[in-house]
Amino acid sequence: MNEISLSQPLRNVPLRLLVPLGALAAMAAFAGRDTAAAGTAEGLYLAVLAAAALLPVGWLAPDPQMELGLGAVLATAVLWALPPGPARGATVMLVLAATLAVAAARRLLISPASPAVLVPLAVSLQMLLRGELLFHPVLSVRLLVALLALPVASALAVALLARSRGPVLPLIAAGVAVALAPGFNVASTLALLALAAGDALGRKDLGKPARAVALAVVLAPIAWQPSYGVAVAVCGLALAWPRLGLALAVAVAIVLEIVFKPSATSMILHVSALPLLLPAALLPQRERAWNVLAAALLAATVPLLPDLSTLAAPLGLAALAVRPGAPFTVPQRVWTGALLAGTALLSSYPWLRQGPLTESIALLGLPPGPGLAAWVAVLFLGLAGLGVWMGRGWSDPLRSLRLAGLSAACLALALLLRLPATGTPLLTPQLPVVLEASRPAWEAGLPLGQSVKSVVIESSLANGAELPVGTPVAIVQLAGPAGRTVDWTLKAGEDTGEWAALREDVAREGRSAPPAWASWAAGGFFGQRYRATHELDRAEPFVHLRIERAPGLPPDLTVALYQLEVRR
Amino acid sequence: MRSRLATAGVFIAALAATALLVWRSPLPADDAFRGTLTILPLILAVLREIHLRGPRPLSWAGTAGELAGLVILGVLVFTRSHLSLALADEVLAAGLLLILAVRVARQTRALRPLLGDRLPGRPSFLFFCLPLTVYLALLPWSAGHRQVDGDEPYYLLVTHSLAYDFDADLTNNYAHGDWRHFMSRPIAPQPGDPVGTHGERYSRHNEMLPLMLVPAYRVAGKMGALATMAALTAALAWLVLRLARHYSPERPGETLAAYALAAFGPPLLLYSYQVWVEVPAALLAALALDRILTLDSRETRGSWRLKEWLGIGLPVLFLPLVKIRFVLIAVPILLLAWWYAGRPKRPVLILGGLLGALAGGMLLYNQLVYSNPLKIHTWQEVDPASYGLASYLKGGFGLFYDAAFGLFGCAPAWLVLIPAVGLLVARRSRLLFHLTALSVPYLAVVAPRLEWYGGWSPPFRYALIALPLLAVALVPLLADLSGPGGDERPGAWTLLAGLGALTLVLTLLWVTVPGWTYNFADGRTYLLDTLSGRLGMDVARFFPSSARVRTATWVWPVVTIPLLPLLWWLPRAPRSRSAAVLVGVALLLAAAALLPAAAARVPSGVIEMEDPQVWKSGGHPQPERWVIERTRHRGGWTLGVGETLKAPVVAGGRRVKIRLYGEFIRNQPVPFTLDIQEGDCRLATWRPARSRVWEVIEIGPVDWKAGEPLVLSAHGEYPPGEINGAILDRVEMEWR
Repeated sequence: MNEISLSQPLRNVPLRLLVPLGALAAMAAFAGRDTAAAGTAEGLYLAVLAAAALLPVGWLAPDPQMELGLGAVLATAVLWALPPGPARGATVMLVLAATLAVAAARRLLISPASPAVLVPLAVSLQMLLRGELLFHPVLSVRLLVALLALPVASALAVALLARSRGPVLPLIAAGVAVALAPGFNVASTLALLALAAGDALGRKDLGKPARAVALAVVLAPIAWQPSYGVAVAVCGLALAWPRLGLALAVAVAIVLEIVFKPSATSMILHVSALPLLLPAALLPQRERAWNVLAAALLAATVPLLPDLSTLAAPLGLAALAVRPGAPFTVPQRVWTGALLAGTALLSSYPWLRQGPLTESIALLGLPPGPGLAAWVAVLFLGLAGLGVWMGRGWSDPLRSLRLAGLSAACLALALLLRLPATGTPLLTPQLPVVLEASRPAWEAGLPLGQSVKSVVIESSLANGAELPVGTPVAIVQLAGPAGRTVDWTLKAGEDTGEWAALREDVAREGRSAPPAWASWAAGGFFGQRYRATHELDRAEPFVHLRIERAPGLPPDLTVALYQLEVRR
Repeated sequence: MRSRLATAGVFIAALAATALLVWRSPLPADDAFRGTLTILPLILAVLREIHLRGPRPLSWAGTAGELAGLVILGVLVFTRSHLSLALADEVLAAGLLLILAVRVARQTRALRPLLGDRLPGRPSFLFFCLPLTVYLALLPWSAGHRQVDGDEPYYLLVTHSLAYDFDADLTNNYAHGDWRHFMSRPIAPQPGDPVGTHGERYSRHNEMLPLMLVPAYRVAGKMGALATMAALTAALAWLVLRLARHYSPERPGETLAAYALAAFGPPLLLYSYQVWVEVPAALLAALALDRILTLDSRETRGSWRLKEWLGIGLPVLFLPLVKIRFVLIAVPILLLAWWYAGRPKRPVLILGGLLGALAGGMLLYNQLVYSNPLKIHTWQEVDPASYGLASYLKGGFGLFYDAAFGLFGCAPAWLVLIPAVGLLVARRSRLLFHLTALSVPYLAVVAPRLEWYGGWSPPFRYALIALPLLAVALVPLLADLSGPGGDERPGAWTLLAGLGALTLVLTLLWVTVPGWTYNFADGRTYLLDTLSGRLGMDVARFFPSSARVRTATWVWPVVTIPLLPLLWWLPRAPRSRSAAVLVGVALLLAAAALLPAAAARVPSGVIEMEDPQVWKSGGHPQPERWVIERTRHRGGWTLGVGETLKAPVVAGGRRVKIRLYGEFIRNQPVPFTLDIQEGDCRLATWRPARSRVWEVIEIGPVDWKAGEPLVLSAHGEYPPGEINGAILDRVEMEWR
């Protein structure tokens, strides 16, 4: 370890804590007296979240901690300047994510991937990805384990892996695991621990007591959950003994196939996660090709219970088998970083998506699956080939930089190509229109000759939790210049839902609501708004849009319209 | 050769991309980012070229980070309309600006070797290119988000007339609505504009600046004119480096820091995309001073070459042509030239004669055309003796401290001028003499005026001519930051970090919301109004204002003038820089945390009725919003019969004496009363007898329950026609 990495965490520690605490004080002082509706609840939540994310950044950021100071000041400025609501939450999260990214990048460039670096990085990442745990937090062991113990254990595992394999591949493995979970949950943490222990098992210089401990760690996940745990244990063993690992993987895959009987479609879908999330694994180190095969088998058969994070171990195993040369890892690093960033933003306030990884991949326009995996793999192979060709004339840093730029450009282009058609928002953000019994309709003229192919409606219901799923709550009508009309209904539980669906009394009833588009801190729970897109058969010009509360609804039910967007 | 070809290729590609985006942009015509996206390829190409020509390469990781940020924000620019997030345009603009700021900070540091060990006589062209690139990058956003205002449209209309009609007669331009070429709001002739014998309408503004703008305006319209202003501003920033060599040639690093603050911070950054005569005036003054000081360092000082005639003579003669009041800068320049040139008679007599003739000619011309040698001003206005000390103090402090119009209000980092000036005084620096000689005669006339703040202008307008020298004044102070053996001044770093962070945030705000730098002279600012409105408390009272004098107006100078030097010169400590920086940021955040708490706890002393934290059921501000020379009027709120005001009050004791300043407006011969209440409890009723007379209504001392608002409600009858009302200026609360 060099001088910087030794002295870094110890220098100015109280002062490093002072800045996030200052941000907490400034944000809380403002939020506590904010007169804007819902401003206080949201402001206090964001204050706690920002401080929790910035405290580890204070530990992580190298001298001079510019990003810490800037991040704290900018997050505070955003909270003070923007009105409460999704825009403010999204901007604060963007500032925090950027602050962490800059601190991590700067630190990893000058320090090895040691626990002193990885622990604060993991803790801060956990705060961003699992930030909802900080909403009205109750101090409990469970909370401390979720927010601190799991990321710390994962960071230590990655640090162990980095010591023997260099920082890049373990960080990719951890990045994939974190994106799958999202964050550090028990499954992803056990996967990283098992891989680290398996890696240690493979070392010839390891003493017997240490070997016994490592073996115990590898096998421990079986005790937690046998079906998933056995796959994790096999991944750990495969890292130590690749051929044995493949044999065990075949056996485990057969057992899992017999027990869970996954369909061929689901197996293809699962195994496609490998080239989709880890295209670099298509070009493994020669001696690690067995690991990729084992990972593919396990990925295909392991049950996704409770969630995608059960893929963390097989994909982590595959990540550690990647050929470490720059042309192969650079596009993979960009891709993993992009997936992690997308997951972090979509899983955090105000989006709070349940499947942030799949949603961020879906932004590319295709659903996650074999088709998209093929595209990603082909593009990756092309970039890797280009990287090898570029290596002839340029130095390694220059090649890496240009390859990274090219990869990022490809990604940005793919995102831009799949953007929805240009739309015209009809409402001012933050100023919802409320349809109620006394004022049941809202209408607006459309720009003359506006060709409409789809209409996006962002809405929520109040006092609508009792409605059965599928109940029409509003009628939307588009009128053409010649008087032709097209209308459809907005249905409860499908297109929209109760804004307070997560409030304890409503949630207890178990009424279903569609996935929320955006959330906001509404006192003690997250309020939700929903988004529905209605596609017309064909694009045609319309001049008028009317939306009317459906007749026969309970008198106290209201429909809040946050946005109406007509798209070409 | 290869690199030249690569450069040419990059610029051709950038131009092609820009042309393509002009022709067919993926963004709609009215999109806020369309202009920025269009010039982005060119901006990137220029930044790349500056990087390549710079002596020190930038780190690849930093560049990768900037590009990644740019890509992410670029994608968000395209998706924002679908996300339906409030203020998404402003947030993304601030993000893009932040990336630009990071790039500029890194690039400026990387250019440091170009200045060598001693400041060069001719600093690299890159020090002109970098600010120009920044100003041009901001131009599409700022021009799209702010209509030209104040005197700007009139300068542009004159420019238009000169460019297309080849005359200064604006009659046809007003008739044809030529303002449409650069703004969407119609303009009418300004009060005091001269009218010709045949009814021709002229502008009272001089034609010098419009003449400079004409070529670019003719080529590229408003954007061309604004780009010319950006070039003038960049040249002014470059001159900071050139001027500094006369004072601290051995301090290139510190000079670079001062240059960066001047070039990339407010207020110059805000003026870069606007049409104000102060920028060319400052440029001319700086050019002349630089030539004078160059002459001073020459051995043959007495003989003037062409360079001196051009470098000193032209600015001296051009300054009054830009604006007549700049003759007050031209004269000191002439005197300085005489002094430093070895007291030669001939050049000074010639220039003095020409200047006298010019000024006299202009006065005569004004007398003939306007029937007033000073156009719309009076001799009394420009007579320093006609103002009292209070006017000088108000205007003088206002130019620096005023939250709406002061240098420190728009960019608090400039507060380090206080210890800097202290250091200059202690060292008896000749810079202080030059600063005083150049600016004091001018400011002595401008500062005590009622309109010391500029009038619908960005902050620090009238003192902008001093900005280059103020930047140079920072150099000795910055040189004092680090001592021998690596010891640092922790207090100084704390100050720089805290003020620097606040300045960065404010700069993001001013550029993102350009209109917020155009405050009304009513003692408030858009920013403080927004905060007061959000918190429902009077926040503005803690910040100095010379337009609405209050305790803070005097407390800030009295506290900061001794405190900042003390903080700066805290004893040195080894390896204390990063700790001090963290302390500075933490203190800034702590101060921010204290603000709402202070607003909620510090007893209300004065309540201004027109302020946003005062809830109103009706009525209107008095005087109306766009009144000229607002400081002539008492700011107040007109409350009609049936209307109510409710002001939050922070109690400072159990009993209070209340003093209400009000003026009754009788529109009907019916009774009018105003109830003064503590919440629901009536304390007194004002029954005014005389109309249009300011009265002071004193109440109490009376008991006051903590937490209750002050309520003023007007009562009376509603006969047909305009109803009675009262202008309520302020309430003073004296707690016991």
